Amino acid sequence: MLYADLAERVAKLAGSLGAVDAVVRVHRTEHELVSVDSGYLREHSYTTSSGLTVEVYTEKGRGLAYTSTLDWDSAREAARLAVESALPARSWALAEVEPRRVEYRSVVVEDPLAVDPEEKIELVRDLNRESLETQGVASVTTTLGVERDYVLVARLDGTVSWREVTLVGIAHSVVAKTAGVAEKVRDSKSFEGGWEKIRSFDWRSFTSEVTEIAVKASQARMPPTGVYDAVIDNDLVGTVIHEALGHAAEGDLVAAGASVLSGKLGEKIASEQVTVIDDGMVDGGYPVLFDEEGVVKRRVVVVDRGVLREYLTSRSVARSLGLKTTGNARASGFTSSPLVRQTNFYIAPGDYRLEELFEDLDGIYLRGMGGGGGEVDSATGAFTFYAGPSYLVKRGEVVELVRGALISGRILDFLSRVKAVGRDLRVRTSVFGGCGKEGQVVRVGLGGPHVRVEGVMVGGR
Amino acid sequence: MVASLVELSEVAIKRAEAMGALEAEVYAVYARERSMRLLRGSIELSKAGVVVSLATRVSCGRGVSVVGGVVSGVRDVETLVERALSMCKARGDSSAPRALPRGLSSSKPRGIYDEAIVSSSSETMAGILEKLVVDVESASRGRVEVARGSISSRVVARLVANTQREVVAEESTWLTLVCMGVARDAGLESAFWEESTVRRLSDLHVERLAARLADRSLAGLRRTKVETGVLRVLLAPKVSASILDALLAPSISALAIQKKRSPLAGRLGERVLDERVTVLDDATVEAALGSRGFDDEGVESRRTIVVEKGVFKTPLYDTWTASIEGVESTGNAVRPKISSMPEPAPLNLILEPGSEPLESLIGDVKRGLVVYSVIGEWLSDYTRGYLSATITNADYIENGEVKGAVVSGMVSGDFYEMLGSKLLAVGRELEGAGVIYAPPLLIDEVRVVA
Repeated sequence: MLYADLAERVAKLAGSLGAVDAVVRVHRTEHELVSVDSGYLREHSYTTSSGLTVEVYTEKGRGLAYTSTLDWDSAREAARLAVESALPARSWALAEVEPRRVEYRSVVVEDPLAVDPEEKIELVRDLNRESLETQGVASVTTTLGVERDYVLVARLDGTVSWREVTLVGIAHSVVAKTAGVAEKVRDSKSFEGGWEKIRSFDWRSFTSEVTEIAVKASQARMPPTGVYDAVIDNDLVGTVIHEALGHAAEGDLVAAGASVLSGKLGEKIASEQVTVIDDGMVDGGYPVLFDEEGVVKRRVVVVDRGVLREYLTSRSVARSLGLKTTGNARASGFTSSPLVRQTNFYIAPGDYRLEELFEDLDGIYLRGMGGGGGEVDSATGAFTFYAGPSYLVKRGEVVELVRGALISGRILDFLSRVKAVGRDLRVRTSVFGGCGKEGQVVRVGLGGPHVRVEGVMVGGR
Repeated sequence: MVASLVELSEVAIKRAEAMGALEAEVYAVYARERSMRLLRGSIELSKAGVVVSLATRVSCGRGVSVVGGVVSGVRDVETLVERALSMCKARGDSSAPRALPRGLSSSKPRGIYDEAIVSSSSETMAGILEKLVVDVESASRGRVEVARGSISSRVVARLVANTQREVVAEESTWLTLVCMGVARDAGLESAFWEESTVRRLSDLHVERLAARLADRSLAGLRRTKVETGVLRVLLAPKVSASILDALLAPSISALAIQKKRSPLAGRLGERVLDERVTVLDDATVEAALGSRGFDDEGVESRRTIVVEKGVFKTPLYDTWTASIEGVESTGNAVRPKISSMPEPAPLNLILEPGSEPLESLIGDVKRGLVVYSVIGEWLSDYTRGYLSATITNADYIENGEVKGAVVSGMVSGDFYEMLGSKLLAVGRELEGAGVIYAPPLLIDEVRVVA
């Protein structure tokens, strides 16, 4: 438990300076990237970040201060500054929680940060070179990512919890060109664990698949713009649900009146096929057993068979909305204050086999791989997402690959059109990215099962 | 602040030399932040702190490597240098850059450092937020609530130093006010975001921001529907800027061109946009958001004309991409994160304004949209040069008159056509989205999906 004594001491000091409640966090991250860009070693970087945050609640208000120097003098100064900067704030009353001690460490057989740099470079270079030699490929970027993230939270009430999560993964991005048409397809695969996860995975098959799809997509046309019945795959449905529903379910947006879900608890907001869960521990996802307020993360059924049941909360949001804490206050680093964030947010699997979802479909099979992400206006539920290379479908059979499909709509309308949910739940986390909110990026798990949706607005040409 | 960075940089350079580096460069940043968050009109959190970050780039004869991170003292700096050397020796990359930039120098842009921001207290910042809430209430007659918002000040010192004992350093300030207005009426809800970032406190105009927030939040309640089809579209300045950010900014990077990812690859000297379009990058503009004396590898900032009257004149270069083509860096090296190798990117990209004001351009719209905000435009893939964006706030116009608001739908089209053969006018009001500045753009025959 790195810095546990320091954090506990600072929490007590904050109490003696007038804090009614105090949370002290130590955050330490190491991140290594090896990136080969069309044969050239573009980046081999190593980034560290460590610091301490003191968040206090005083009779006067709420304040937060941080320091990147992890010694007693700097920590003491941060505690003083936090108490001093506390300003009269809107009600900061906190939901009561029990003091708890939670510890978690990823199982790591071979420390990925200690592996010989030459071995890492060679692996990435080889994958990059093979892809670059494929006909029709204009450029290729292959990146290896390694991250170790350590968080310790100490509270004035005696809570001390810590976790150390190690992720490894490879991302592969291919730009293919056919007759002047460029198409970029990117995908990544990450694992929680050590270098043994890299050694045991078939990376050649993974990069070959990305390359092949990029080349084929560059030869494809864009789908005609219009409204389609659709089957949406695990990756894309995960992005849509996370961005368009998950953010709206974050209690801080609800409390601000900035969510399309405000005031809708107990109401039917989706078709009965739809159950949505936020869970801190899911196969393939990112492990969050406690949040940055030291609150134990619990499994939350946000939507139960179409009915909105819960919002995600922090202690202050739970108190202000009169709800239970869910353990979703997350901060991206020591300079950040926790916001209400998702962990692994997904549609629960349904009863349908994949072939049943495609039965009699005249429409489109929308896929996430190679897609460009999405954006949402949580207040209205408006969303837009780029799908990856996808397929037009006739009478249940895929007939043509199309590129550049974009879906757009309003989330509650979209969820009401879900006709069937598949059994094939798949959730993935990533060492290369995460969820952004107010400038903070945290790791999450994205995914879900395949779903069939009627009347999806698809943009193309 | 600069003195502490000089001290750390000397530690790094001496350590690199002692370990056998042929050359070493240090990039260091000292950032002091103070911020406040607003929830439903009241301050929710006050925050303050200091972070010192340092990156070192070393050359060891087998290429160049860079490491970086937040540092808490001399020991951290030495560890980073040691790691950089060990990574450098692992490279064996014949195409890697062998030499680091030399001849560091700095221009002296005006208005990038403001004592009023440096000395602004918690009370000053709380006062600005309170004024915002009052002004929005007044401008909307109580019909718009400031649901969320924040104010933050940043005082930053940057330094680049190298083994030639060259040093450039400067101090800068920023202040950002962000807010979201929500208007509600008869079961309808409309939201609008506004943001203003300034380098000098005196450039912050809270009343103006509040008036626009109130106006556009309320406008979103007067909804109308448009049919899917082809319409004339007038992009408000910030929307124009965000579209340029998504599609033009990455395409003019020499790296994207050399790697054949940019649609502008091989088109130097050709007309790529309408002749009314001139785009330049200028990090010396007084008080602009990206203005600075030197880029992230210590090359002096300058003014570069990228597109002149529609003709593509030059990409933006850092030292490495410039050396590949045997030209000079344009001083556009940017580090996406502290430990990244620098790469070319705009510092202040400006599409030069025309003469006609926005209001007058609206009069030229017989049937179309004035788009005030979009989401998802940044998802557009610059390698394809194709725009897709979701409308979140627009006015529907008939014969120059507003007929109602459009709060969903999609605009799409080929970016180079939109700013080429379909461009009808370049407006007058210049506004920024981050470091990209653009005026209103009136475009014909844009595909709109309702």
